[in-house]
Amino acid sequence: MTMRILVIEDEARTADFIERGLKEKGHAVDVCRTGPEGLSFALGGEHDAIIIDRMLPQMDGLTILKTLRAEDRQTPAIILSALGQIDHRVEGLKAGSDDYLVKPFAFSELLARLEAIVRRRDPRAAEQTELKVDDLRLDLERRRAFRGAREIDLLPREFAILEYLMRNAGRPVTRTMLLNHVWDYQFEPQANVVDVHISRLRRKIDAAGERPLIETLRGEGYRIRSAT
Amino acid sequence: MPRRLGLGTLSARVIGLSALMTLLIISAAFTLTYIAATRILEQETAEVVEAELRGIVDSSDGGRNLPALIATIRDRAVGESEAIYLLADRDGTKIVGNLSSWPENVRTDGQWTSVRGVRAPNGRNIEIGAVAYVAPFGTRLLVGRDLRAERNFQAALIESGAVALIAAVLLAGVSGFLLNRLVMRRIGDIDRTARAIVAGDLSTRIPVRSGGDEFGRLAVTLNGMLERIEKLVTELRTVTDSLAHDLRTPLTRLKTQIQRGNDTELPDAARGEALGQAADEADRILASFSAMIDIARAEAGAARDQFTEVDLSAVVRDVFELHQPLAEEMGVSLTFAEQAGASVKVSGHAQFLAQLVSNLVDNALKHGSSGGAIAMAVRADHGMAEVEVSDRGPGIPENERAGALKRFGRLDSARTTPGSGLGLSLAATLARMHGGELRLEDNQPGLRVKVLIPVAG
Repeated sequence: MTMRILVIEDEARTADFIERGLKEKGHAVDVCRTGPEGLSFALGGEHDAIIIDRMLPQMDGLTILKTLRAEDRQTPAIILSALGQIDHRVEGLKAGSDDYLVKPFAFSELLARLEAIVRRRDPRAAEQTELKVDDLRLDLERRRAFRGAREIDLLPREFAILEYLMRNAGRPVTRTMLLNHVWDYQFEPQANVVDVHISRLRRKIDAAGERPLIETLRGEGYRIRSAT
Repeated sequence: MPRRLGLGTLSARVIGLSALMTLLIISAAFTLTYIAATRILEQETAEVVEAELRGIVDSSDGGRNLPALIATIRDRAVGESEAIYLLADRDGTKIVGNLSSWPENVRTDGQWTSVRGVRAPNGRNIEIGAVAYVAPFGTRLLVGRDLRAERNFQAALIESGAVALIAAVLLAGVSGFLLNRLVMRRIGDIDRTARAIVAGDLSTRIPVRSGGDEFGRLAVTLNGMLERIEKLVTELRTVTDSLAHDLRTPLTRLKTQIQRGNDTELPDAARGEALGQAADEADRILASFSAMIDIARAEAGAARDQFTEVDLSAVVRDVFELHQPLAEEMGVSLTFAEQAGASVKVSGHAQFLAQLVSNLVDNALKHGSSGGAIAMAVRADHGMAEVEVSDRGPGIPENERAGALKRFGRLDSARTTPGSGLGLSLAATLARMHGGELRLEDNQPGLRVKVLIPVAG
């Protein structure tokens, strides 16, 4: 899926780094260096997603977002900021951002989050009542999971993890993304807490002889992927 | 060299101004009083004299009955009395009376005037307040009063006024000086303290001479500020020292790992492993920095404006559920107990509270897992919400507990286990941010961490 992405970032090095990375992945990129310019581009509404630096000259990122949301522009947006404390993140999300990424960040993390927020805002995603990867099926209305004909007994949290992975099927999901979206935690506990939840989930969905569906991406996170 | 605060320009100006103001106020008041008193006195005299003149004129048929007029004047103009009478003919020649001649400038229209005349029989030149009447045949009659007594009274009034004025100005100067000295002494206290602090002694405090007055209150406020500054500066020193010390080891390790990764003689697998370790090491350093920034912000009281009513029971339960699988994996039985039916509510920030509890569990899993059991509990007791995380590990000896909560006072044993070692310190700061406290207790054996936060409402 090729996307058109608006980058509002005044710092030349970061802007170049993001622009180059996104173009390599085949996306179209517009870069704005000031807040007002960014807002006018964003109001145009031609973009699939917006990446906004929080601190910008003349108008900060939160103001741009609030203005945009007040104008009922629901373009998925992600805030980039060096302000990474819990309350900063909460402020960002309250201003209407779909995600919040703290500088310095790895490009793969930005890309993973970007794809996730675009996917989530996809109108087709909202109407979905069932998610499917191979023979793994998630009934979102009845909150039930099936692998083939076998029903899997999942705890609510496990269901949420699986739903998040499956909504982002084929794309990497980082541990931080899971903590942010499944647990709603804007801080990072001991790194391997998430890993144990994943291995439990794996034991439940992959019965003996079945193809393992959740793969571990070294240094990145996890990905659920169909065989085809 | 500390300079003593003496009579500086400001004090001189204050004293001078106070004296000048006193001078102006008293002068104005005196002048008004003087003018009013003199006028009333003169007016009264004038009315009496006018009445007397009217009486004499009426009783002598408007001045036509000259013999009666002469008899009346002669009767009245006797002795050294203050009353002055003069009857003269149309040329001004004296007929009878106690003035030797008709004074110049006397108005004959019945208006009160002040003139000079010569008193008969002693010939003394005196000031007279007088009214005059000219009878039908040109005979002139003057009735007046010797104004000497009034002039004396006025002089006395001015004299006493001047004395009072001088006394008041002196008094204002003296009281200004005394008041000023009192203020200067108190300012001197503050000045000396400030100089000592500038010179480098941060522990100096302003002496509080009496707690009740304005200066006492100011001293208490300023001392509170100095206390806070000293604490921050000391902390900052500790931070820089400890930071330099604590970062040397991981950075050296990082360097070694990068060198190994760069070493072309090593097999690719070993180089890859070394770079992976370097990345992990860098992550740990970043995590330490995040924890330090978190602590600093929590200490500064950030995010208090984001406080809402938070279900603490739910927060603790979520953290329990997050860590439970990991504990099980580690062979540790993690349990959670809450009061049935009643959830505990506090005023706070759900994310920070979750981070607090999560840090306690992390800490117990890292350092207390050898005991095989970790118990979490939440309850409300006497208006305080209590979160408890207890392990059955080695615990912390009583004399090291205070140090364990300091930002850099980590136990030596903590340095050998993974993590930034700032977990308990951050938890304690977060508890304080919520108006609560964190206590380390002996779980016999193990460590029991108790967080007390006031219940909402």
